[in-house]
Amino acid sequence: MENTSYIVISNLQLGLAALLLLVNIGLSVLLRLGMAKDLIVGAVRMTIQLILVGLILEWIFQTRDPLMIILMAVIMATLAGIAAVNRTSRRFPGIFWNSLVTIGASAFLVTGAAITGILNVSPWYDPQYLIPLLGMVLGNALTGISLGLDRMMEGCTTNRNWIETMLSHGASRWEAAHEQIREALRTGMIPTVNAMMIMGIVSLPGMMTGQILAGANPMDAVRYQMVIMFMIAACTALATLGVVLLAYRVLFSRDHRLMESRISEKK
Amino acid sequence: MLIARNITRIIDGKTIWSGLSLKLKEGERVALRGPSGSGKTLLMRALVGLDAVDEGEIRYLDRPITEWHLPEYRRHVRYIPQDAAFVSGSVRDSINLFFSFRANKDLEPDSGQLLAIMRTLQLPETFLDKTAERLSGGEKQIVALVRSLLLKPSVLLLDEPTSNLDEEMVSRMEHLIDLWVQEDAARSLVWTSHDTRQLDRMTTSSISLYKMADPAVT
Repeated sequence: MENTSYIVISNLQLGLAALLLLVNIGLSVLLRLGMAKDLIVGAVRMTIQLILVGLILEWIFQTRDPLMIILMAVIMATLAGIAAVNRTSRRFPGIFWNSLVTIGASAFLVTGAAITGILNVSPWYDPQYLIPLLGMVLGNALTGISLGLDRMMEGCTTNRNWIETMLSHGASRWEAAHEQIREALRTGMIPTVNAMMIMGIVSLPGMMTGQILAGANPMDAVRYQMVIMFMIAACTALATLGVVLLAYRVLFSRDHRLMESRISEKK
Repeated sequence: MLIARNITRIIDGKTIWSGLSLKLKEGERVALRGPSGSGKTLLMRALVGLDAVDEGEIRYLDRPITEWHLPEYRRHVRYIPQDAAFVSGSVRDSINLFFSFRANKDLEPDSGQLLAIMRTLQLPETFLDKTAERLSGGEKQIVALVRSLLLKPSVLLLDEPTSNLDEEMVSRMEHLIDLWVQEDAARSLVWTSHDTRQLDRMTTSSISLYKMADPAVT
């Protein structure tokens, strides 16, 4: 690698970093803390996953083939949509489709708008921008979706009596569901809102730190961090709202009934 | 006015009741009797449209329930579930919330009626400012009934409405419901209770449900 403003890490240096972990594993074995196995499995998984991702990204960055880049983006969105549902503790019919549709639509909308309308990246599919921005947006939307879905299903299950009392007295499905929808949205947005609240005070955000390590001017890195946070907040709000409204349509029938039987515990 | 014809309910392949018919005329008070598990609650849920029936038809004012806009239907036929929950805010807030539903927009909270009800129940007005967390199970039942009466139903479906109350309060609640039915000849109710003497006191006719025999094991 030529002309880089950062230190390229050699295999030897990587090994030295891994040694840091070895000290902890040694301590765990010595004191019988039972952490050694988890630490080793975690470290090995991370190493393999990151090397694979690195190889794929390097290949995609070289081909610069828009079709390949879009394919990669679609695969990322699909994995995020599935992961979001896998983190919930309950299910309803169509939950995977709901998650995939909302995460795909909201992430592509927000990332697309940012790349073409704000950053003016040219060509728009330049993987240097598209892939990391999309990845960060997806990761946060995933959390919003899973928290929002979980809260919505939980709310409809535990408040069933209350919801049905309202329905039995003339509430429309929207009137009866409103409180649960609002709570689900709030829950889905908590991590994003909290992250913005403490950003720069408690911790330095990962992307900004990465750019600074890569030699960027701190103020430039700060600007990127702000753009990505606006994107993340917009996308998480959109995705959480979308998925909660789709869940609402499944859990409350058009003739104003609560379809609690559609919710099942995760097997 | 409220008619069920040959209705059947099947859950997970198990018949709860089948071929059930009933007619609730204006001014009538019907007891719904039967052992637990015979589907009394499920029948009430079907009558208010919270569950769909698998066969047969429910009609109100000569219109099948499937043709009613259900919130509008429930403007007339109101159901108080067992443990009708009460989640947050004060008693007054929860009453006002129910008046804010679009289907109830022709109704106004009637403070005179509310005061009269409180007098009948011998409850202080401060009861209305109690918040959800401070209400006992019995007090929640009182709120549920008071709220329903203020919402001027034509048919009231009561599912164990006094199960958590002490004897004295039970008789005041019964008196309150008595007054409500007598006030207007068109009002009618269906009542379930484990207390058969209460049913004898409060109702004039009855429907009995039997537990369907489990499929014979051979």
